[in-house]
Amino acid sequence: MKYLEPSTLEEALDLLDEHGDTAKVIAGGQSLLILLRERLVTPEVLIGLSAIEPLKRLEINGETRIGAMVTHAAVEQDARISERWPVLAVAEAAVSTVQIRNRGTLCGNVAHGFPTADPPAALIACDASVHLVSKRGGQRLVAAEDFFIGLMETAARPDELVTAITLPAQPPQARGAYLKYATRALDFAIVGAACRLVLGSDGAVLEARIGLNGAANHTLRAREAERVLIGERPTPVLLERAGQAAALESSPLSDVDGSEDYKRRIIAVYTRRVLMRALGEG
Amino acid sequence: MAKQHIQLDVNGIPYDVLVEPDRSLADALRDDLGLTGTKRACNEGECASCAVHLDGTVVNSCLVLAVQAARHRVTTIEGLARNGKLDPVQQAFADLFAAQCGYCTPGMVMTAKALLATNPKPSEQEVRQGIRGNLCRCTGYAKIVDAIMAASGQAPPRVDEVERPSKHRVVGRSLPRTDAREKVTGRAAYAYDMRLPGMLYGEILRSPLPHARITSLDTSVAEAIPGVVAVYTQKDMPQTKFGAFVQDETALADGVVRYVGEGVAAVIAVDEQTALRGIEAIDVEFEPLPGVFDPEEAMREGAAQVHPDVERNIVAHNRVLAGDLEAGFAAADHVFEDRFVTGRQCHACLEPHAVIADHDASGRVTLHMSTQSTFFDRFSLMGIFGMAANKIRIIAPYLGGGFGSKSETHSIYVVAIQASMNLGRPVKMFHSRDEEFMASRTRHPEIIDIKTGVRQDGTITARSARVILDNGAYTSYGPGVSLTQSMLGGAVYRIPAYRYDGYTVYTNNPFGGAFRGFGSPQFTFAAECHTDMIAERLGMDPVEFRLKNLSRAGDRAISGPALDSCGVYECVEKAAEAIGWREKRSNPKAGRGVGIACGVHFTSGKFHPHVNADFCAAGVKVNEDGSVSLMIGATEMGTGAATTATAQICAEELGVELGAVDVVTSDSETIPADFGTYGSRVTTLAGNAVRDACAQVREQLFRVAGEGLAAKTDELAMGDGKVFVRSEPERSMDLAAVVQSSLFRDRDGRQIMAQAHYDAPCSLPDPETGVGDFAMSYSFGAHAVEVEVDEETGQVRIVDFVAATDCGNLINPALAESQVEGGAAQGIGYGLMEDLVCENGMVLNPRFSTYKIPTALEMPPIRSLWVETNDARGPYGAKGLAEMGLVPTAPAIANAVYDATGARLHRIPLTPERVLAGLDAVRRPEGVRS
Ligand SMILES: Cc1cc2nc3c(=O)[nH]c(=O)nc-3n(C[C@H](O)[C@H](O)[C@H](O)COP(=O)(O)OP(=O)(O)OC[C@H]3O[C@@H](n4cnc5c(N)ncnc54)[C@H](O)[C@@H]3O)c2cc1C
Ligand code: FES
Ligand code: FES
Repeated sequence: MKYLEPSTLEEALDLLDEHGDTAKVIAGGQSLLILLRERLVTPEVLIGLSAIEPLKRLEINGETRIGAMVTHAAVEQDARISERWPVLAVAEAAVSTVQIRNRGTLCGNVAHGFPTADPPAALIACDASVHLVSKRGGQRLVAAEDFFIGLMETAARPDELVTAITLPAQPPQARGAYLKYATRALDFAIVGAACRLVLGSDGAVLEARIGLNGAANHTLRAREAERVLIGERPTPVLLERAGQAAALESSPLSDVDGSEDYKRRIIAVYTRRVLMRALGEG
Repeated sequence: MAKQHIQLDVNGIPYDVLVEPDRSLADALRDDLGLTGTKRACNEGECASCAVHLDGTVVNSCLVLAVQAARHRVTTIEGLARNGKLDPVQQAFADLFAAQCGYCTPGMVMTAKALLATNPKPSEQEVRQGIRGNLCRCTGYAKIVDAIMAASGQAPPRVDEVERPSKHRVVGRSLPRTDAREKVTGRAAYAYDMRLPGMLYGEILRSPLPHARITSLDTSVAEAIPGVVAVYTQKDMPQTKFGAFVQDETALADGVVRYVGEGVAAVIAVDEQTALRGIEAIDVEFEPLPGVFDPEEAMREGAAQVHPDVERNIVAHNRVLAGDLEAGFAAADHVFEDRFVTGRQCHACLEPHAVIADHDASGRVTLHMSTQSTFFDRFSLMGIFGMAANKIRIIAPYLGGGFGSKSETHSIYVVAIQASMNLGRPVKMFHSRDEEFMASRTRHPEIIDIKTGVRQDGTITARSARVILDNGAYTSYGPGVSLTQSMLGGAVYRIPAYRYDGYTVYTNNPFGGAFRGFGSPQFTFAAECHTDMIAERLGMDPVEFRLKNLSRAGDRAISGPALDSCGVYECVEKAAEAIGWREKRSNPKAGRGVGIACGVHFTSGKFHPHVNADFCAAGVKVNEDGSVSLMIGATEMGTGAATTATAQICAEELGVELGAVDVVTSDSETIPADFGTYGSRVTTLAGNAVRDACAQVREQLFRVAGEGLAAKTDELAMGDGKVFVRSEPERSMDLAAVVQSSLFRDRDGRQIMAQAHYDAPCSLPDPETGVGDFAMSYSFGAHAVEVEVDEETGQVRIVDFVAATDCGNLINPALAESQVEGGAAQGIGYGLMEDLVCENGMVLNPRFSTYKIPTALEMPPIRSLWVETNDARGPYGAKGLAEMGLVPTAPAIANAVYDATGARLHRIPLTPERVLAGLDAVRRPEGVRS
């Protein structure tokens, strides 16, 4: 295996194109190094992104653009993010441990496509987009909700690089929250629920976005739960129904943290709770 | 893999190194630069023992590539202290007992330092959040949090001794640990970190199947890998089987594997990576055999046999028969019977098992290893290799935790010795984290049926218990665990008639061994939940029911223990009061509850039918400058007993300051025979040996000083580093002068030196009845907890925790408190989350991320209370402590969960899913949320 550290994006794309399947991009390495150590991936070339200056930028003007080498810690600690995209800030603070957040990147986390990671649900709730670039295919933009496909499977092609994640300015009346259910705070989520609600002047839900980590082999947008809410005024019964809908549209995996049935119940509870939290009631 | 040349800037020093691109920064620091203060306890980013600063932020160095760290600033623990002056965080850790075994300490210090750099005055909760990624298995995090708060100037820099004045000068005081400085600087030596010149590395290929015959094994590809020096299978190993109770183990599988993780073949290579590549290249074929995974099934006729000729897989049956059981049950108004099941807890020491075997040309093998008992290991290895005792030298440096797992022969020891003999080079072997989980012993899971007769007024009339221990594939300490719980099971309450039957049963699961508590936590979980259930059925308050039946000082327990001192009654009273028992039980709040449980543990003891001895040894030498060298046979596994408690006793006895005593521990060649560190025995047994050795040394000193001072020896006393005439203290001689006068004289010179052997007064249980006073003394404790249960998820949070303990008098209160706090953490883990989950023998969670131990955030503050009973047998009235800290924790939690929810759980751990199922079962239909 060779380690290469291109200093421009173009070089990186050339390398990816040249080495194809035999190459792997490394950002913070907080997931990749474990895969390497367990021989789950065996690349011939590792392409380090840490020398590409533009990828280290976190820019905000209306929308926020978080470059590929921006760490979890940088997102979590940015005062503008916690003010304007608090759902993401909370999800970032929920990631693992300070050591991992200092090194791991938001884009790497998303590219890794792990179903119980924290940020993905928040990104869906915030209507984020993933920016992809390849030498052959050029640029494209994929909505977060379409990006996660399966267990460590995403819409990105092997030769594509995630260059940034953008979050649009949140609607003025939006309320959001992220809630994580795990055995211990440092664990991957058993269930992570994120939401963004916009209420009309009559108090009815105009817009709802719900993202669920741990609800399937990939992070989901809980559209059925959203449908329950749209046009209705939030009441305890309605939120409970939304939770039940989320549980129904989920297909969580049984593991040592709990059975599929148990997790479905947690999804119902946490979906309801995250909605309540967003509405300032929990 | 082609190496790359990089420059690493570590602690301000540039280093040129040649590394493979996949080499981690942790490995480069440790192996290439020799900076082993950075630990590597998991190698998977899950423990932060490897935390360093990279450009000022804290990262796990096992998850950074060395090539990525090039051109960045790396700071390690070695870079903190300057010119011998500790960094304030290190100083606080040293002064406030924050390092026990010390293996998590460097990572913890680096993390704390980074936290304080960005948040100089964190709240306690922020500190806990900040270190949530740093696992510690010893401290329960309490003293670590204290130290970080102190380093930030928000808490006292030293333990406050005002509240607890000591009658003595040194003993009874919270003096900082003597090994603290080594540990906070990362300089303390551990076997896992050591390297010898010319050293080779061994790795073991382990079985993926729980029960199978090895039909073919092709090592040729592995042997051909450049750098692979040898590949071994069992035919290359000694054929003598080993095991503490039943000799059923071999170094590598004897043709059949009996659990997932059993060694199949070993590869010895020039480095760790090559050895790992070697085991991957071995081609093995297995023929699966029917397995048995449930001990009850294993006991049925016709069940698959784990070992030939062991009828119904029952390898041992331990029994206690005491009193007239039939009459006891007949005298009862009610007989209650309940069944309980316990989980498979893992030791999860931060330092994995490690050994370096160095066989030299003279035929002697020197072992540097992470062992709790150089004596037991040498004894066992002598038998395996047919070697003379003086040809096996075992040196145990500091242990990064042990908790029982490091008290017997592990296959890596045998393989490393054999390989070193064959190859003439030192060979290092150690467990990876998953091997540590699968192949280094666990606490035995048990099924306990317990039956108690009571009169209407709550008096116990009889008790019987039938226990099945899931032994796993080999026996290890199984029968000893059963014996200990059988004896202790009769000692907490006054029980007129008692019967215990314990069946140790083979299965194709990972196997159990010695683990802090040694049978007591399992039995206590059952007995103390059962106790609450009985009280409720009788309509009595659980505390009242206990107080009515508890053993008292002077009792001889039905199972034999002579309870010369016994403070369990006071422990229960104190714990109940401190948790607010009366008030909280009479004002129930939804989802909140309090629970209590009590228990007993022994101070060492005789639990092996062929070992009618229980001893520790100490040597004391006073040097020509008056300084004192103390030789302790026990090892320092983290408790501070071997390095600090014994030194305090020595300093007290010889009238010197603690700083004048230097401790050397555990070298089988230079230190007298000693059973080692286990069974809460070091402070007491070694402490008594220290007292005896000091008394002899005192006599020697007095003889010489008597000449110099023209006084009779019985007129002399010691203090302030001097020998003086009691009636005229100014007539004195410095210790230095006394020793010099003894050593430097024209002929007739003598050493001022003595060694002592302390044999604990106790006896083996009667082989027929199983009754006996099997331990030197018995410690007691009661834990009271308050929990909050999320009734929708089943998740339990502990909000308050009181531990009242009777371990006799305290030799060092802060050290004692550390044991209780660390015990409580393991008890909370045992009760709530720790379980090595095996499905048909397959281990589902062999990592720190899936086998969950409490972090700083799961730990409530622990309030320690003491009942100092002044035991006549122990030094300064002390009894054993280290294990007591976790014995009653799990049932206290289960009882609190019952109080909070009405759900009685019979099985630990109380996972949220089990709690929720329990809640479902008791919720009345109209109570269900719509
Ligand atoms: C012990 C532990 C606990 C964790 N707990 C949590 C948790 O609780 N919650 C949570 O959300 N996460 C958790 N994580 C994961 C963490 O968030 C990682 O940082 C993240 O998943 C990966 O980010 P990275 O920058 O380290 O990516 P890398 O490890 O460098 O890369 C991950 C994968 O993404 C690919 N990749 C990375 N960057 C790009 C890119 N720009 N374009 C294309 N592909 C790319 C890599 O090739 C690789 O396949 C945990 C990790 C560990 C080790
Ligand atoms: S060794 Fe690096 S986190 Fe455990
Ligand atoms: S002191 Fe923390 S692991 Fe031992």
